[in-house]
Amino acid sequence: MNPFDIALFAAAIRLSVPLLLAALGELISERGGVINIGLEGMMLFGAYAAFITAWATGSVSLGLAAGIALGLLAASIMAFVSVTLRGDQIVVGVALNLLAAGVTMFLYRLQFQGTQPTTVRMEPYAVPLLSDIPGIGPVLFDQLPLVYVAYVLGPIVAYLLFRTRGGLRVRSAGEKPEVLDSTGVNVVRVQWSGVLAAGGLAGLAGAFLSVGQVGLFAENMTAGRGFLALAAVVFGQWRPYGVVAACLVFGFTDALQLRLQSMGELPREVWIALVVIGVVVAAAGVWRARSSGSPLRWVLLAAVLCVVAGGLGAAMLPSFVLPSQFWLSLPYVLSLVALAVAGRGVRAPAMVGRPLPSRG
Amino acid sequence: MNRQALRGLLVSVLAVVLALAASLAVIALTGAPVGKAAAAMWDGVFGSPAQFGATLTKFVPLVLAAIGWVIASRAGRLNVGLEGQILAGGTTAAVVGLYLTGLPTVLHLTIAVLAGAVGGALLGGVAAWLWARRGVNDFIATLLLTLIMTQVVSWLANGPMEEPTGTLGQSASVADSARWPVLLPRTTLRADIILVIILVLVAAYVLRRTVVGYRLRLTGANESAARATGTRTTLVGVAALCASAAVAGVAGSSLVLAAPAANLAPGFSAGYGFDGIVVALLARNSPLGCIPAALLLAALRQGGGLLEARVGISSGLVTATQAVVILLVTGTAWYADRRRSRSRPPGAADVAAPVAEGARS
Amino acid sequence: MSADIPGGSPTDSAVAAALSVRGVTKTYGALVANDEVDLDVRPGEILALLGENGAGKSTLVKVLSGLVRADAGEVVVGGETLPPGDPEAARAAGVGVVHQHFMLVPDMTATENVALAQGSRAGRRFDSAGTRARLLELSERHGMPVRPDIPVELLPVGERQRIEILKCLLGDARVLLLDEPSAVLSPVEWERLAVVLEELAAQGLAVVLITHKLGEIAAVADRCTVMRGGKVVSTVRVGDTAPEELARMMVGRDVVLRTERPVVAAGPVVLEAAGLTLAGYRGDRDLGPVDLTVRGGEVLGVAGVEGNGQSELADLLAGVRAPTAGTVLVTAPGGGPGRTGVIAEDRQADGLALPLSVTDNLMMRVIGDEAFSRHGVLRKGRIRRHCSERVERFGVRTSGLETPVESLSGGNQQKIVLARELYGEPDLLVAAQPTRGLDVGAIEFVHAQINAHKTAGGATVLFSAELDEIFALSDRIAVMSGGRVVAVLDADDATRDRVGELMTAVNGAGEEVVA
Repeated sequence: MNPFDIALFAAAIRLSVPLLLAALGELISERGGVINIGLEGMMLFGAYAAFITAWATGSVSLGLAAGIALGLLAASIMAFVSVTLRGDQIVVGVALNLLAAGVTMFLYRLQFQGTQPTTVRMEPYAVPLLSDIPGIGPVLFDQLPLVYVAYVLGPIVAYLLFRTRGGLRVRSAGEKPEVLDSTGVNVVRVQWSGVLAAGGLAGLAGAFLSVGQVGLFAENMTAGRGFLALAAVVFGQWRPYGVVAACLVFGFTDALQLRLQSMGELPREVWIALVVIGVVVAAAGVWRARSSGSPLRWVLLAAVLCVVAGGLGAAMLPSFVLPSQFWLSLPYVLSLVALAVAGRGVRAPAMVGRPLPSRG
Repeated sequence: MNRQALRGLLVSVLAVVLALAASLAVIALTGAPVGKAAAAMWDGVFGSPAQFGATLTKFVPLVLAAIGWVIASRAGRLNVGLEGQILAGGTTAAVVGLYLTGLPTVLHLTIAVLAGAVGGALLGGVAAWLWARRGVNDFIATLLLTLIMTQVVSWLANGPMEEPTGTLGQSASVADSARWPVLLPRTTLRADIILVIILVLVAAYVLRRTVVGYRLRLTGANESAARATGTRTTLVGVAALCASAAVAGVAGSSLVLAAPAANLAPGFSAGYGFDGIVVALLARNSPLGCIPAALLLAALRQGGGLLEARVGISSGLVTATQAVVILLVTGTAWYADRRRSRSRPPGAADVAAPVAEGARS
Repeated sequence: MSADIPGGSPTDSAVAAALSVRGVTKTYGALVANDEVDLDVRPGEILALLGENGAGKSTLVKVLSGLVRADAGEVVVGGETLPPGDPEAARAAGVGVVHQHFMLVPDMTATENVALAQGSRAGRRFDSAGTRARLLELSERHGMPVRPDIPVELLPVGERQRIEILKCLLGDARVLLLDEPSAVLSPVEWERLAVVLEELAAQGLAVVLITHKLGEIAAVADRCTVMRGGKVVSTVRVGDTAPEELARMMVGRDVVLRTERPVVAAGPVVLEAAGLTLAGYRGDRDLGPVDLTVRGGEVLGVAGVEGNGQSELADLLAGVRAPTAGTVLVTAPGGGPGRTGVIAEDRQADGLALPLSVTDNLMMRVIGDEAFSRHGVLRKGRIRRHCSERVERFGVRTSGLETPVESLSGGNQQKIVLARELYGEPDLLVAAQPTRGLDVGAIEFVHAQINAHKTAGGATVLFSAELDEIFALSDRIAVMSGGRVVAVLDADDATRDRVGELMTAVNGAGEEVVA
């Protein structure tokens, strides 16, 4: 049985969307020099606010708006303590995660006393014409409206960061804030805007999880997706299209994992895909080595391993089951490996994790 | 105690008082009886020997994780992955406890606890290697490793290490010879708390009175100057991360070897690694200060449980209270750290600087 | 030209001036960094602002660029008084500043950096192609070649400086302030820049050149304003004033330092550096190979224009960096490996741990010695006695041994470095810019310590940007240029002219590669 069918790709896209929303926001924040470990909490806040608003008003769009609003509020706390007051970014992020877990659990239990009500949820919208394209049409263009937002978000963020003055400022704040200072731009305000972008988008991502997909709320329903989005920023090496690709890879892995759980041992197609991945990785490695002179050794080793393992697997079809945990940890392993292999050439923006110097 | 330390203490105490007052106010807003809620909290902690024992049981991993944070941050490293190192340490301890049988109690327990330390240190060592050799941020590396470790433990508990019936999604209990003896009868408190207190004292002593502690402090304060005067700072950073992780690993071993079920279950770290950061923050990175701070947080965790049972207030409120404490403490760090740091002129301009400048501080 | 109206009334010159500063005062705590500073620059003129480190030049620059709000006084540009503490307004009024530490974002291209500096009035979207075209056009017109599409961190330092200047010109600067522009340049690059500056002035720009180097002033400036101790000492016409006169005004004491150079019989060879090489110390240029020999009781001064490899050589000799090739051999007089004491060039960054106590800072090197720790445990009593003794001997003014060193003055901080590094009589002392930023009293103290070390038979390598210091202390003088030692002179035979000539000589090894 071929696991790579249309349903798989549709699921991959659906699973990528909350990651994309949150990770692209986080990208802006990190390019501005603020790492937001509290992304998970902001998503959870968004999910809760969207659910409770939709439940009370019966309106999906009000729910989404509420999700964004609470995400922004959480981001304001983050920005106020870590940017304005120069508190430690990491610690504030940890606090936000605790805050979101605690507050949502407290309020939800207080109101619903152990029941789990459902509410309205977003309806798919088939884009006329496009959704009729055979093959990819239903996968790409018969989705929830928020998915379409996610499609264009990558280019939008890339445009904002690299083609607008605001984007230049954000990047400058993350690399060398004294330059901004010398031109009279308020660095604190610039970093605030980055953190707010992350908060608003994380809130929207959370809203997608609750009113977008299922129409209910569950405690800790983000289940680590905030951390996954953080990893996507790392894996995407702090570049917009890199982050988009990372989110798609992570979403796809997740979808594949869900699919394979029902299939038992690995089908031949997965092994063949591994060979293809190996070849692509090798090609990408060679291309990057030629364009930027980054070392090739590790990339080629990984590629060869992929090809050999994939080839052997496809030929022999060994009967073992990869546990779901393997797939769930794969994004984090990939991110770490990518960082380790990229070495010192690829690094987080210089100010990430560091407070702004206070101006004399 | 100097003025700065006093300020720090003041900030911590005020933050806790404020956060507790705020949560009582929230309880009042929900219409629940505040008195009853406070009494429930109190009983949850001090109501019976069993409750108090349970509080102290929670104190153990909290204070260890906090010490782990203190050690790393002395050297300027951010070990956000204490949670993962707890998982790693608990796992190796469980492996030794389950499969290395037939040893006398003292020996088996000793080896199991040591295995916990080694397990934690190994995971910390991976992060340290990535940091030292590959230039990866320490906090990104430790965080990602934690997320990976969470899956590894879940896999082990549901797969290779699952108990014989294969239905519970957790391992069997470790051999009796690898379990900490009960310290207070009819409570969950076991003798590991004695080891933990000793560890805290040792850490405090090492950080304050030894060459190693000095080198950590120096590296954290100015890596470049430390290197220029003969301290091998990369080694210090690696050692600090590994030691920090080893302490977290011991916490993990306690969570297995001193728990009632004494087994490996997914998510057994229960957020202690992250809460440890809160403790260290409250203690303002003082090892001895971690003891009262950890007691306080353990009491909150423990008291929160009864809150739900008696007055229907979910323990989420306690979690949120902790978060507020962190935010207050972090947000006012500038106040506690305030020395006589008047703004300095640009450059090293000391032309007319008063010679006796230092004499006033 | 405005030269026709010498000594006009203040009102007249204020109207004529492109930039005029009136009574600017700025204090930091008890330190008066700028004391009633007055200054005028006219369009078409190059004004040198001369002063030693710490004379208040940098503070004045910050006030002019709006980064710092003055306590009193005003800055008038083109007839308009600038609002204090507003960098954007200063730039909009036409004040362009090229800071000594460039204000460029390293991972952005020249085009992006220029666009970043244009401020909010230029619209939300930035016109990348347009900005790039204007940058290239200006670069062409002024003969300052730059590559617009490469992240500036990959560009050589001279090109980055050109980007900074073009950034100001694109911002329609009417007044261009350059803070120590030659510090990062080779002599050839500096000459080229000087030509550009003269052209810019000829086109009506007012140029302020902030420096402490007399030679540059004589070469390009029309007038010179001298600052000392936060005050303007005098403003003179460069053509009418001898360099010695300028120097005297700048330092406020006779240029000849009072320290007598003790004569010590040279001992055995202590330092022997052979074939020292450091690949790529600046871009693709290599340092060295450098060969040096220094005997006990001898001070070798190393002179050179900043950025010609002195800092790197100091690091190699101090053992802070490992050479790509070559060896550093330090021998104790009795044979066997010798000990090295190091006075770091940037004491706050590399010499001290500012948040830690006086005690902690004094113990950095010796903490592991048997005398101060046993089996890894600190011996508190001995440490306390040792530190009290050091603090007393070196006259460190501190309220106590547990005081963090960041609350001490610069002079006292340097005394702590000396007290630490000279402990146990090291065989070799590597002193890099040991008196930078110190007041006169502290300078004399440092010089006395170096001479005492010498008299006791120690060897010293002294790196200094101050030729006076080199001449006052050295027995021999090594001159560096382009990453090499181009000559080693006997101090008795050396003259300032000769050393200056060697420092600025283009050596065949291709000094121009920087550009």
